[in-house]
Amino acid sequence: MGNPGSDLPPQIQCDSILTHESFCADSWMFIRHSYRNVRLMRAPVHPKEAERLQAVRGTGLVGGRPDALQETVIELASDICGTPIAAVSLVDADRLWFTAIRGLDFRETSRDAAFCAHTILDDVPLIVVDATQDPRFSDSSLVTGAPAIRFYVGVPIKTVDHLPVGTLCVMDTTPREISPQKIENLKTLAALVATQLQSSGPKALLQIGEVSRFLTSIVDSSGDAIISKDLNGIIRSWNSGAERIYGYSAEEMVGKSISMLIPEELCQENERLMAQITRGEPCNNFETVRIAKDGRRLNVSVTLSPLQDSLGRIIGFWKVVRDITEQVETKAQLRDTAAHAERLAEIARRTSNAVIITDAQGRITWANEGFTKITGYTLEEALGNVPGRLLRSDKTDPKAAETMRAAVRGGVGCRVEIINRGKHGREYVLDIEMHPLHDAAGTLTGFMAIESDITEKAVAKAELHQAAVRSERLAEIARRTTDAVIITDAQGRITWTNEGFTRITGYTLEEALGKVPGHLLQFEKTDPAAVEILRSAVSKGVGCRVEILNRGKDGREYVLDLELQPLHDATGILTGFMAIESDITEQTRTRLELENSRLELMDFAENASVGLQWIDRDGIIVWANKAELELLGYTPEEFIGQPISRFHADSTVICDVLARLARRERLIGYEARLLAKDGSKKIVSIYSSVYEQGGELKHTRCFTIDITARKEAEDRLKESRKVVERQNTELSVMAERAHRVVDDVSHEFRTPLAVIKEFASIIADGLAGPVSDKQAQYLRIVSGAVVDLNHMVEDLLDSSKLRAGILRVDRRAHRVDRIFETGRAALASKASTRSIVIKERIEEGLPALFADEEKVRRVISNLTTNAIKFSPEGGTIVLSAATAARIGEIIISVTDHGPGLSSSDIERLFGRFQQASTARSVAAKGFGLGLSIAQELSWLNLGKLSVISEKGKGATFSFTLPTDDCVSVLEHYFDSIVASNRPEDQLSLLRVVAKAPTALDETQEFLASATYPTDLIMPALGDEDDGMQQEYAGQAWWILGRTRSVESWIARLCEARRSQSLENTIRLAPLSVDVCGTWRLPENALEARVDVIEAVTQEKLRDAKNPNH
Amino acid sequence: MTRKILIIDDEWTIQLALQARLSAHGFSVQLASDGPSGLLAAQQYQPDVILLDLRMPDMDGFEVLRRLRSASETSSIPVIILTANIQDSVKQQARSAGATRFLTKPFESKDIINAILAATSKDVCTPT
Repeated sequence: MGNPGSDLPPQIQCDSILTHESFCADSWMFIRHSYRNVRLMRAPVHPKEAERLQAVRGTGLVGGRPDALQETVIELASDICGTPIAAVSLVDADRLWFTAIRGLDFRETSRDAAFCAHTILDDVPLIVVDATQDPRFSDSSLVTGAPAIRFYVGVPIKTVDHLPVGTLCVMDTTPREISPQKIENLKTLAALVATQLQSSGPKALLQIGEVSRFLTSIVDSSGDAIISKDLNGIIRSWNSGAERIYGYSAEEMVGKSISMLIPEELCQENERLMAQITRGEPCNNFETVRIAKDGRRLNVSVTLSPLQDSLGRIIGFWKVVRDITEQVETKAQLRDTAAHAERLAEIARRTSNAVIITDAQGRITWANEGFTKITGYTLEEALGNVPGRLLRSDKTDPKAAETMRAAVRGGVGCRVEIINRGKHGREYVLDIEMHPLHDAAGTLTGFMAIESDITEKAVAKAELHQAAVRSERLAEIARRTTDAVIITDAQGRITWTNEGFTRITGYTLEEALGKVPGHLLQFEKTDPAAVEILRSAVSKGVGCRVEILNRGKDGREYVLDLELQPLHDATGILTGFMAIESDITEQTRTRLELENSRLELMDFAENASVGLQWIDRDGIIVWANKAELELLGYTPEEFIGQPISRFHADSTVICDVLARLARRERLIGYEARLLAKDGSKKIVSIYSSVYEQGGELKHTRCFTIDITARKEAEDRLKESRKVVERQNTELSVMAERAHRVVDDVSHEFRTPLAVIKEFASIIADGLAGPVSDKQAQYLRIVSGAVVDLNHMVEDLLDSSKLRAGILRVDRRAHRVDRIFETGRAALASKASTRSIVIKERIEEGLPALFADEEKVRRVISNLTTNAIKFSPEGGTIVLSAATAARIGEIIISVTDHGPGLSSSDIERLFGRFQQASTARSVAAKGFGLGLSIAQELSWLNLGKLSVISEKGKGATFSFTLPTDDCVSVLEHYFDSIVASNRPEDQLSLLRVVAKAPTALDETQEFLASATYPTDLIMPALGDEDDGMQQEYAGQAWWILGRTRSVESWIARLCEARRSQSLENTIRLAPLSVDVCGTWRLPENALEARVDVIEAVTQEKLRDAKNPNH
Repeated sequence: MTRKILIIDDEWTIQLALQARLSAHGFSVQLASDGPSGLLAAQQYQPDVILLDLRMPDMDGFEVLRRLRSASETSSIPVIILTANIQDSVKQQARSAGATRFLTKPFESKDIINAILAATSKDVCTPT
């Protein structure tokens, strides 16, 4: 067998899925369900299978890695459909990988058995209401064995090239229907998964887990360059932002080294940063310089983050690069402006300075006008006062005052800022520059203070600070260089735009100058309401913020978040407007999509045909949908807000439900009884799971399915089944009793028959003294009659066993001459009483036959007994064996020269046989019970009894048997199946292997006794999987049988083995039983025939190829 | 050398018929009517072949067979089962318990003689 996934880890290569082996210890039986389903139900391959497989591999998910987003999707899918099972599958060459699965505990299966292999063949979803009724799936091991799938809906997941890589599917173990609305929901979810697979791309670099973050980051900063590179600095992805900033296209850059972009002098810095990240130290943001394609040096802000694989190993880096060249320039300009303003303010204020002159003790001797202007005190009022005392306020900084005092004491100068209070209580801030005054001799005479009122300056400073904050905001705008910035005059005509404007709209500054933005950019789809808001703001000279749909020069439609601010000059006159416009097309679209899907899901939940409710952690119903309320007949007011326990009929049940949910258990098909408003109790099946947020139980989501009607029907069915079972038991007890009576009777008959026969024979043989010829002849008649009587007893016994279905059949390979030989003496002795000669003719080179020897002999005996009866005294009977016209068949005939049968006789005779049930009870015209038994036994030997006769010319009764060749045996077996009109059944193929050395007969006889006559046991080749093959080769059997289910059959085998091992003192070999396939009868009889023959002959072929075996 | 046959059967009519037939054929015949006396006879008499009935009072043929097989003096003596029970399960059980042949009543005397000859011919120490 070719293994498609040689690059996969070994645990995935092994074929362990769906195989389970159990050991039935007390019966020494290994039961293995490997479901090597011999029936080939594989779906046709996809027309573009090779490309499709490439796409499957391209997802990077082959092998079934769990994925968080897909887990969420399947949880949603199974909640939506109310199914216990949901999965995202990838259909690979030979296997099916479940990248996310819920409700089943395996993550892969064979493609042959899979529904999904069919799903990918079509564009429309595959819906299987009941798999057992669908010929494509009724034989799938997933249906016939665990997990016994009945219901399946699958939606293909396609790549952009329309190649179906897998499916999103839901399954259930009971048949069910699905509404078109749910199908639509599944399609939406499948599309979501497809998008995810797509964005994960063909490069393994982009890990699936990164996808959502990746998408978010694209949306959040569409103007940024987003670059991924591997550990060697080779660029792996290059987005449009990168293209815009650097001027290189993705084609030019992917695969190239990142060093192309880094100025030579900064190479080391870059290496240092990467090393830092590799060590696990974060590197959030740094500013540096890069080189664009046109050679420009770009000021950029870079964010580096590691790119990790699923094991957390760093395999590369993410780089988000933002062009901040403009921002840097704006900052520099701002700085210049602020310095200039400060200087100007100083100059402007200086003219109004106060000048004071004091004596050496600090008492005022002179003050100028400025002083009066500032302080309110006249010169006269101030003279002789110490300025500090005169002007100090409680807000005066004591430190500044102390500085001044110390300067006065020390006779030195100083400069302080101080808050003083004027005559009128006005508080003002002074910048005091104090100089000591000396006379020519150098003696301190006093001080001069130049005091500037810097109150306004201080205010201006505060304003300046605010301006700085504003400039930060400007910087912010600058930073968002992707935004368009427009400045207009008061009439709304564009006087300036930035590069962002050009980028978004496509218009250059020159093209836009003097235009009204609205005229330039709005079009018929633009929302009039938004336009109106803008117009009204412009006319009133106020700001506003709107979202607006515009159209650029190239016809591209985009959504803007537009912030309009009026601009005023210093005097407060409106000079124009500034508009900052962000392109939020992407965000808007995403938001709309999210909103739409939210609405869809809400509508779906509200109108779902399944009852749905949320219960909070305290057991209070917080929400319920229409179906839930309708089911119970309550209004929302009566139901929502109430404790859920109020609506449960059994308090223990709801306690258990809440306890399970508190433990975060999932409820699947949990049965409970709910109280409806009308007082009735509804039996429901609950599917419930817990919704957590941050590890905390938020609420539980319960689906409620009303199964009241089904439950009642089930109960009724159970009741009637019980009655039937009881009757069956009674019947089988009666049958068993009757059977035993017949057995006992026959046993009691046999001993006296033996005595009569043997003494008659002893006397006839002259062992008891001389007898006359006449006496001897009569005694032989007695002897023959005893044999006849004994046959009748045997027929009676078999008849009863056949009726009970427990007549044992042990078919094996036998040679015809041996069979003839064993029965020869009894028949000859019987024939001799009427001087009849039996001639045997066996065709030269006749192959061995496959039959129950005992039964063959009984048929020959019964037919010959009849022939003797109808032959004339001294006649000849020919017993012959030859190959039949049909290949693989032997025909054994008994020809007499008696009166023969007319065609109407034959018709009457065999017409009766066809009514099998009555045939045995009625002895056909003079033929006794023997003929109908012969007919039955021939049938058990997979052959047919027939007669050729003409009135007056004797008769030839013949029966057929298969040769000892597996194909002809199987052909005959299937013919017998077709011929029997048994009702619906299951045909199963088992392979039994003896796991220890044992007498060959022991196991074969056990199997023959433990199976029904309608089952077929054939020798198989030894178990090649078993290391013991050398010693026990040949100790394997195929068993083909009809039962209601393969499980009950195996249970029966185990039971028989157990009772045998109890009876037997010798140790029995353990048996391994392999279920190789099951088919439904009669509808799949033809497939079964083909499949079984193929399985058995393939084993033979394999064996022929393997010389070691 | 004359072959020694031990017949263990509770039916005296069968005993008599078999004795008549086998003696006439030149065999030396010893009779036993129940299990315990049959076992005793088997040890003392050391027959070449034992013909054993299955359904007997007190100790049935299976038990006799089991004891014959477990005692070293009798474990290798061929045992031919001769019974009126023709059930396959019984036949299988007798085989597993170590019976050499299985014949049913009523029997063909030729079959019995052939069975005895076949069972003893394997014994090289007893030339015909």
